[in-house]
Amino acid sequence: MMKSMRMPGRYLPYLLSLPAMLALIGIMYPFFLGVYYTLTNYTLTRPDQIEFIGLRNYAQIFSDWVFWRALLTTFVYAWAAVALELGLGLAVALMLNHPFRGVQILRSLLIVPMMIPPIVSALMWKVIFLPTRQGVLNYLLGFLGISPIAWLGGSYTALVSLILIDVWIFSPFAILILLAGLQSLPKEPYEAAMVDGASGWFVFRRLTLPMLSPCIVLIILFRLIDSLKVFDVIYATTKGGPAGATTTLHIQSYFEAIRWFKMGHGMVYALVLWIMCYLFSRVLTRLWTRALMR
Amino acid sequence: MKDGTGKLRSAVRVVGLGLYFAFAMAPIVWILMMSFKNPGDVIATPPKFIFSPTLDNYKAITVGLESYSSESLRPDFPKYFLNTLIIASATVAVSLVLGTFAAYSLARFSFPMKEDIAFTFLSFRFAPELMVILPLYVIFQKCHLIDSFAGLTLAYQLVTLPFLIWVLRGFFEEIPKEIEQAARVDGCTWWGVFCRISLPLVKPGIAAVVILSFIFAWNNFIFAMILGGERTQPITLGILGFIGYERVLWGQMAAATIICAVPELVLAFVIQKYIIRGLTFGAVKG
Repeated sequence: MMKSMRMPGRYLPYLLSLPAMLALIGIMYPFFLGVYYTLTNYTLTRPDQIEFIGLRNYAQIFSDWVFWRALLTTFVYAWAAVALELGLGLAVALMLNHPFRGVQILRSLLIVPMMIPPIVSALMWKVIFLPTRQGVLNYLLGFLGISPIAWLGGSYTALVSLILIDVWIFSPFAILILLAGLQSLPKEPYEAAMVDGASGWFVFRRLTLPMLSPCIVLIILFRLIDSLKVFDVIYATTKGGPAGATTTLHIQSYFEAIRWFKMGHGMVYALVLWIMCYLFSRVLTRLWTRALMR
Repeated sequence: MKDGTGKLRSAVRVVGLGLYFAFAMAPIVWILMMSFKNPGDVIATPPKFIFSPTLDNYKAITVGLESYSSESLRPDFPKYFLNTLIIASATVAVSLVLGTFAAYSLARFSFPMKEDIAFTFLSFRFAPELMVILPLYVIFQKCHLIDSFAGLTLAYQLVTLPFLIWVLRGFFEEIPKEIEQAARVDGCTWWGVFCRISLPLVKPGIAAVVILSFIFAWNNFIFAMILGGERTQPITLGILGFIGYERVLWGQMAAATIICAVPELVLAFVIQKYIIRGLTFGAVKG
């Protein structure tokens, strides 16, 4: 009896993790193959002539201003989107954290923008952003005396418009997490603060914000990484344009590898982005566990 | 005085929430309106808010409408819809079988490097897709898997499997070990415990994770764009096709958008309780 209980215990973990291991190898193999490609002159049109060229791809790309612009665009997009989503999320979550009639319906509605395919949301916004008064946004702004804006067509407005689309899709994510966080806060500290006659702002800064910090770090973790590697939204709207103004590392990686067949270059862009995502996720998961401890 | 600030606060709340939800819902309402407009009304300048609704856009993309299409009467949209359904269902089925066992073993057994393996899974949630897709494209070309349902199902595992494993692991860990041990003492085999005790207990978790994986697979675009083709084209790519170089079929695109989004929204509302947990890999118990 003892034996039959222990026997499966010894081999089963391995047997059961086998599918997971296979999946892991399935993911890791292409990954390392990709890292190898960064060191070659692999061209999609000549797949039989792969040559090892050392770090030449890296040297070429790092000395090209296109790379540095893409890096900057990626950072601006990601941090601006995260900051706006967090700010908006906090404001809306605080407003939704009170019982009133219809609050349940509003909370359910939050899921809607998040669950529509991002590419579809991006296309919806493309219609709304149409330049001239044909676009409904420009038409409505016309009533406020604002003349039509090119939105996705202008070199500065394009990035702003894209960030706005990102905020539309993903601020519900921040709101939902912060709402869950707010509702799990303990009551006692608030009662104590009430007795002491603390002001609302003081309570918010000294009590609510610190206690929400795990949620906030978690939102930054998920949203920052996802906006660093944004692809669908940009591809569906500007395709990196106008004149490269919205080309991020991920978009440039696609162009290099698939459009211009330079697999080595495309993989360098992807690898740089991967390293950034990996470092940020490492730091933020560590911050998150530390915030939880407190 | 207290009453005064209270009133001010609720006024701020009403205005703030009103503005936010107007921002959140307006695009959807606009596209919904657009999908019921005829071609003339769609491109009208200034945009029309009052128009006579028509179902022609929906007809054009589902069964075909002579006056709406120049090339053929048979629209591609139903095929895209079916493709998406095939890819997403197959992907979720494969992930579920592999992932449930993996999640259980990560939750219940201890073996060397367990945490590292678990973290590697999670880290691929945060990896840029092209880092894996581009080399995969080369491999798929060699294996003739480009534009095949089998190939896409394999590739989509990257979207659903790490997610499914990580979230289900959390659900399995929540089952008290004592329950399983008691069943073992009563003479249940390991397999019996798994099937009769653990699996039924995490059923709600499995349902939620399956629906969310399905939505992720349904929403995916970049995998299908690079590894797919004519034959396997899913809805997300098909919708882009309405915006061609010569003409833009806004009305039909709007109708396609609505058709594409509705099944997902219905599913999402069903598992509303578990959405946050799923989206944060179980880190927040929503």
